[in-house]
Amino acid sequence: MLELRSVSSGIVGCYGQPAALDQLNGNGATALRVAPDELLLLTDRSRVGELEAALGTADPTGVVLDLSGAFAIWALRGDARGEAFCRLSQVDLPQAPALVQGLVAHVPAKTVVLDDELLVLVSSAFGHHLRERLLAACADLGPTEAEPVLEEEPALA
Amino acid sequence: MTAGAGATLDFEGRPVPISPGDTVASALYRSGLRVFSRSFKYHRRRGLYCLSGDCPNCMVTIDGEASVRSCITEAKPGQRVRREGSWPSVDHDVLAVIDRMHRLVPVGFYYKALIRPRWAWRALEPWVRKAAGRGAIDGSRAPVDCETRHLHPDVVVVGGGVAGLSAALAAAERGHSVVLCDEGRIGDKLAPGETRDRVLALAARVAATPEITLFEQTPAIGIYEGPLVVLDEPSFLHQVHPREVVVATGAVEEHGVFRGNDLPGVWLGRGAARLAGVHGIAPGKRVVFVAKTDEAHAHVETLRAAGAEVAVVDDGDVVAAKGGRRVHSVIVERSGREEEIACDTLVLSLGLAPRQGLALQAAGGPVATVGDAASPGISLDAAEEQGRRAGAGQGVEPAADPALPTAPRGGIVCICEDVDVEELGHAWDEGFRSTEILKRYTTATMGPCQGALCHRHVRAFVAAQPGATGPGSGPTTARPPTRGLTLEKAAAGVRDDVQLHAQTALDARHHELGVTMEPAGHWRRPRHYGDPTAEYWAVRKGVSVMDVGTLGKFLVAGPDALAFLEKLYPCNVADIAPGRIRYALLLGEHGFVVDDGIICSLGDGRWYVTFTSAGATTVEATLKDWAETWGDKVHVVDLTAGWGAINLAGPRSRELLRRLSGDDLANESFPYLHHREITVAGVPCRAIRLGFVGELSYELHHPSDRSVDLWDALLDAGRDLEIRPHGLDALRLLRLEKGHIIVGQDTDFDATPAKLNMSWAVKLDKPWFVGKRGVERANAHDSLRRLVAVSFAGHAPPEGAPLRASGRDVGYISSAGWSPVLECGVSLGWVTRTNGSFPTEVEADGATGTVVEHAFYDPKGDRLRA
Repeated sequence: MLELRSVSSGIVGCYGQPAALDQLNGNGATALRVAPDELLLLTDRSRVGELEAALGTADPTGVVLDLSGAFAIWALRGDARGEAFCRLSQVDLPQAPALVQGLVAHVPAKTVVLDDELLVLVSSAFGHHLRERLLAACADLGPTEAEPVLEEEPALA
Repeated sequence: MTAGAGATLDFEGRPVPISPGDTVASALYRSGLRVFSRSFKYHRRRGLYCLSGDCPNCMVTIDGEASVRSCITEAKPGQRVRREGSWPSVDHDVLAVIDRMHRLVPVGFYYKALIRPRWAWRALEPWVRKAAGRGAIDGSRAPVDCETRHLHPDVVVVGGGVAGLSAALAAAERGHSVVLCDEGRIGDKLAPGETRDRVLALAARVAATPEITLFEQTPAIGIYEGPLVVLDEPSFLHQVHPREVVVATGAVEEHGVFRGNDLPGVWLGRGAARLAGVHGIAPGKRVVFVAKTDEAHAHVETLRAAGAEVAVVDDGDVVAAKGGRRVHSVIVERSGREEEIACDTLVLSLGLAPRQGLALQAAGGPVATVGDAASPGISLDAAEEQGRRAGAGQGVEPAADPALPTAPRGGIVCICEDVDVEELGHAWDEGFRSTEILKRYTTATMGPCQGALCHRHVRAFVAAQPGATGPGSGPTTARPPTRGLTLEKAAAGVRDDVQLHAQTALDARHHELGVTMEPAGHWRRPRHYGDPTAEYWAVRKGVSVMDVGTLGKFLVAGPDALAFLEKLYPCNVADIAPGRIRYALLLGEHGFVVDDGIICSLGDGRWYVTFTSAGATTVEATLKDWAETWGDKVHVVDLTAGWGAINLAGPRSRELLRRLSGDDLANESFPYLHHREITVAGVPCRAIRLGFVGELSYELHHPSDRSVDLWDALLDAGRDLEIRPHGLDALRLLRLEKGHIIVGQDTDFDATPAKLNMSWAVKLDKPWFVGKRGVERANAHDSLRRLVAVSFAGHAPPEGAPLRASGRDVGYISSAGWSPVLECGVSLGWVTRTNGSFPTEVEADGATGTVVEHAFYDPKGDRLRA
């Protein structure tokens, strides 16, 4: 079984000194540390001001931006999610919970590995492409498309 | 579907019965077929030879797929099988006359014989290509999309013989995940006997081991750096990324090289035994068996059990095979005496050669080569032990390169490419005196078997030549693919790159409006919405919108942001006051223009910079490369997808914007070349006053997930103003009337700012910036070429048209169009200095144009500043 659904989640990008970003991890949001000086938080976009203030105390030149429109997020659920992923990416999926980065369907992606689903984040400019490729490459897996959901906060430790 | 009672395949229009376990080749042979193909170049008859998937003789077209090895392809009911590479048929091939003209068409003849007259090659090439080669691609077949799968086992084992199976089991025993592949079905190629029994016993254990994933009928076609092992499985192209690789591809039987060695009826020992032992078919009635190996006598017994009368030769060498449609006698040399023996089949068991193509490709990587692939003829026990050691990660001593066979004296060396000993001799005499260049010149070893059969004979030939040096007879470079694969498989997954295109958040809206799209960089952008002229006039006289969310957009911040930008751009950055913008060129290190855009100073050490749509994908890497190179503490945040942008343009754009925004938009408080944050229809925007199209304009940059809201609001509110969106067709004309360049269209690879008349955008009094030295060097000399604006009384010549002045070619037109507002042709073009000056009048396509030194439209820019 393979279920594909679009996830609407606020995404806030935080850029600053690594030590300053470390302090933001505990603010309750799902944190994707994509680089030493770059942290993506899956959280409500209204928190930009609050996070900017928090980062500013540790790194006055740090930047916090609402990047909610920058990414398309696709959630893959079901037993065949790993099979679907291996058809589109050479990234080796680690045990959950984890974050891995690398091309998916030839598009730069950040993949969140959770116990029961994969969240694949790609540039919103390529969101359509990822959907089309998933459906084409996995046609034999009988993929179903679920209604888009507003993701609260996926449980990535 | 498998073969049941009465099942048949379709062989060239006639039904051929198939039995359980049949391959296509065995079914055809049982039906009486003996000539399976014609050779690549000389169209000699070819029959089954190795029956192991190595030689090219059994290749046929199956269900439209050309050059399929029938000896390892399972027979299935309804298959359509055709022989290939002949005219009009394999049985009566007119092209076999080429074999009689052998001396006229030696290797490389087309390099020399068709040079003069010059038209000869062009005229004859199609015929040469038709006469040579194998099956044709069926162009009528619907393309099949092939997908890739990426696997990440700990170990990949290539080859399902005793050594390979043992390696897989040993690796699994230490807890490793294993992918095991074999190009046939495990044990299928083996005649009944101890080897087959041992293999089947190990295979049963493999089947019961969950850590091992087995792919049968799946050849490994290459081992690449990584290591990456590519497997051609029927359904997918697998790209396997293991930590360790075990190559256990076995051995191929030593190819026999003597006169007549390619006649139908000449077999290799394992192949003949397989036909007899596995499929129950004797290869012939009267067999001469040349037995030089330990296993030969088991094969002889297998053939006899199948009903063949076998004469064993174990004390002599074959000098020649004689025959026409198939072999009818063999000349054997014993103790210096030649003897002719009548037969209908000659079977050769001369020795084993490692099937080492994959092992050679993988040299230097974490790869162990075991079994016959390392040590041909190794005992079963030793092969099993080697496999176990490799699988257990205990290391295997590399085997010495096996001794080369006796140098060939006559006959076909490379049966794939039809290269005989005589031709190798000619090539040697012409100066091609090592295996590498001999291979390239004669194409020996470059056919479907990739040298598995002939490589060692070519080396032996070289080693035996007078004056040959050691390295000259070394192995040649092994490259993927070691086995043929279809173009569909070769392209698996690649279409992502071909079809990949980015969309803005407004893509659906564009399509609702009947857009025609065109590619721009990796984007598809609106070219027009059905009426580009009306779109043009909407900008010039009323109000229009354009989706410019494709622009490259970046926030630059951090402690070293200013220093970074000063080094990056040729213009000054420090003096851009918050709220102001500046047009900026981006130069390469040699001082050539690579992109352009704007710099917005946001204050607080932050800048918002944009680049062209086509450059958006590459400029991010450029910016980050420079930041890393300089060690600047700077954050370069790509907002290209995160922020949309809509350009609201036209003399009535402020009027429309006021309907949707409560912010102060008066020209005095928000003038040209300024930016500010405003709210439009509830959408937070950074509004930027620019003038690329030459009218009052506001670029509204905003969160891209609000693009649809903003677009809809602008179109709704502007309905009474007859607002309409414009596409690239209108945009190109609008900016051309202003004389604005498009980087890439109006710039060349060596366009310096001076050549573009844009030296004003470069501040050479800055201490340093990317490309400064290049600009200074270029500026030290009068440039030979420059971009100029040219007006024509009538229509401008098309883009790309050559420009002439004083009877000479002086350049070409890079952009051109008819200006509706000026009612004349307008263009930009490159011209060359002649007689010390640039032309002031040019001709193109019979029209005369005048070079103008200012923008065609609104040269003072009053409309921008309105």
